[in-house]
Amino acid sequence: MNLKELKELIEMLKDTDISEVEIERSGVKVRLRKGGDVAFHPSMPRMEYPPAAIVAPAVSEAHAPSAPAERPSEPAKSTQIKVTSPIVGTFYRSSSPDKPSYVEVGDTVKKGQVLCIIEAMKLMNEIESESTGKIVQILVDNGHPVEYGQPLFVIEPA
Amino acid sequence: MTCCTGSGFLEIMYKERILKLLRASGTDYLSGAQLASTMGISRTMVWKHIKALEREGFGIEAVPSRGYRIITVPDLFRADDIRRGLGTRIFGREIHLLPEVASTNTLAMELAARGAPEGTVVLAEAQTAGKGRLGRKWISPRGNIYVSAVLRPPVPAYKAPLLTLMAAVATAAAIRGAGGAPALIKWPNDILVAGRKVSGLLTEMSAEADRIRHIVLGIGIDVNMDPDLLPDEIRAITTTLAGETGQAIDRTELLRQLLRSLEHWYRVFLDDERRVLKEWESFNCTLGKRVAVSGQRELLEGLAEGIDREGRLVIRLDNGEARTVAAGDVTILKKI
Repeated sequence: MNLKELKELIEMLKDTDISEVEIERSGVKVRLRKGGDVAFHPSMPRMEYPPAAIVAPAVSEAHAPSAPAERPSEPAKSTQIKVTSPIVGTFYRSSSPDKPSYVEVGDTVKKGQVLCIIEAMKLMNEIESESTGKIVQILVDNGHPVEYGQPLFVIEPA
Repeated sequence: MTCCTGSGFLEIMYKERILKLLRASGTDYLSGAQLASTMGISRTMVWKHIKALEREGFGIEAVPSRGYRIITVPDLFRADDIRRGLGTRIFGREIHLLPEVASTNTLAMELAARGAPEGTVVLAEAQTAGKGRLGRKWISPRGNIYVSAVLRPPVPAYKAPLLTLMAAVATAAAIRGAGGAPALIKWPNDILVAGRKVSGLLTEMSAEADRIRHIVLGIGIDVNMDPDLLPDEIRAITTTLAGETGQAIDRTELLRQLLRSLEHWYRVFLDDERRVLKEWESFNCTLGKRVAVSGQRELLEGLAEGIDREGRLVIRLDNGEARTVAAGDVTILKKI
């Protein structure tokens, strides 16, 4: 698999409801997870292209597969908190299209800090963090619909 | 209003002082030079504040070599007048009336977070940073209604979006009652008269897990303002109640009707939300029409078939597929 194919795969994934896909080809296994990080299977050979081409900041870290935070494909540890949507609506990562996102993966957030907005019929619901900690994953893309109870963020409590 | 974000307290203070001086001089003219020296500011600044007062609805006559004087004053809300004969138990229990505020919704959210009771109302003659969806502005000169109400409904958070449809029903009913304009609702809660927007709603919620802490219903109605204050592109798609009915509307009476109507429909909602949906359908001008919905990841176009139990819009696309949307900008397309 080359860089172009991987890029296409990421693009395709963006437009679907599939949140995670794992592909194995000629001894290289790639797992893509939407809204979160791109994970390389630790046991597989390292791929030969610049990591910056892939999207998530975690990619560059994935070359050193020992630290736990760099393996998001692992099951979430029990201490991690999932922030879920209280309503059916549309997920926005910022207060308006020209504003920066409230939070990014890796950010430290405080209890009560706004993480995102869910909109349903011009009802804007600012979702606040229930605990102080670090954003480990953002599970939904900006502008995408979310269901009631759908996980939006994974937070590692401080 | 579009001007001077971050202008702050000083600007407003100067403007209010100029207003005071002009009022004190009555029918006599006050020259720009006099105002400037009394205030200790430049004549250009005086002129700027005069313009700001004009935008707020004051009729100010400017005669070269003589100066300025007030000819007409905008009609203003008074809390006592609003309460007189209001007859509501929830809405308007507390009324915060301000000549000008950044956003009635923002202030109401702050008051709610500090424990303001359900039914607390924030009302402003003008907003300097009126809010629309997703950071958009709601241009808010004097002469209209900008009101936000605090609610603490004893329902789970997932039902909260239905309150926006409730508020649309209440607003449409109040407009019909007070001014006689045939108001209709465009999904989800824009109020149109003769196909043009006359009122917009923005609701904000604070919730923890499934429990609603508080909700603020924000309602803006374009009543008596001069439409020329709006940018062309907005003026083309909006209207005012005065413009539609051909006469100035008694804003206080309309506001009273609105608060009563909200109270009525809020109680109906708490009792049986299906009745709200039914009333919404009877007021709507979206269903059965061909619509385009933007703001999602993609542009959807098709027949607006109905609303589901949660108030979401169901669109039948041309390929026969049904799609349900919870948010987005709806444009009603002309028949082909």
